[in-house]
Amino acid sequence: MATATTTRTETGSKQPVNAQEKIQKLRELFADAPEVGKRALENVLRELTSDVSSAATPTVESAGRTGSRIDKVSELTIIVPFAPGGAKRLRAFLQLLGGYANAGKVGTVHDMRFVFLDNDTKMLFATAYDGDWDAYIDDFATKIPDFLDLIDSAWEGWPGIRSPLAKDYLAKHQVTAEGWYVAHPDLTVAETARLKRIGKAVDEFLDKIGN
Amino acid sequence: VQANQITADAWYVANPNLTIAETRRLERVGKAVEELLDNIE
Repeated sequence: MATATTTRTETGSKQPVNAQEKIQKLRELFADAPEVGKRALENVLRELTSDVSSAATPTVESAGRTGSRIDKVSELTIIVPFAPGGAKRLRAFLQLLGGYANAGKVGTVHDMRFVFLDNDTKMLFATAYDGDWDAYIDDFATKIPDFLDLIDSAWEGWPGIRSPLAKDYLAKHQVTAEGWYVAHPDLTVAETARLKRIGKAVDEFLDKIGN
Repeated sequence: VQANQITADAWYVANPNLTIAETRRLERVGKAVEELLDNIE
């Protein structure tokens, strides 16, 4: 099991400096940081140097058209303005299920959240999903197109998931994370579900032989 | 922190009944079962 937390780097690019030089650069940048930040950096300097030097640091790759991926899991964040009345419509729809946005039918979604910003004028949508960007969007388009349009029609200028312009629209509003973390980047949603079944079967087996 | 936090209007998580530690344990159990089955074959 690999645990991953890191910042984004361009796929295939060489690290421009070694660990010591990176740390030195950080110390220079923190020279004019608030005192609490400077003190925190000094407190973790040894640990940080070790982490940066470690070969176990996970590689952050491109998720495809946009966004980042660590091993099997990718991140997607969209910040988009609401269409007139869009926030009200979307909130009513999301509240139908008590704030639980059921994306289980898609099968590749680890988590997702809908956050209304700036007095309901724009929205942040953030998710972690399996695999590449194009396949993820295609999953929504083929499995739950109308649910997606119910949600995304709240956004200004949304062309509809069946439009050839849909992916361009999403990519235009997506912001790649500068840093992110996922506890189990080596597990897809399907693999986790399989492990749950195995764990349950093992527990039942052990209960039987223990009786 | 609280002053700057924004509650999501809706959210979803694929495995809400699994903690990080439980997932780690299941990974170990899955690996052990596979090794056991490999040895039986």
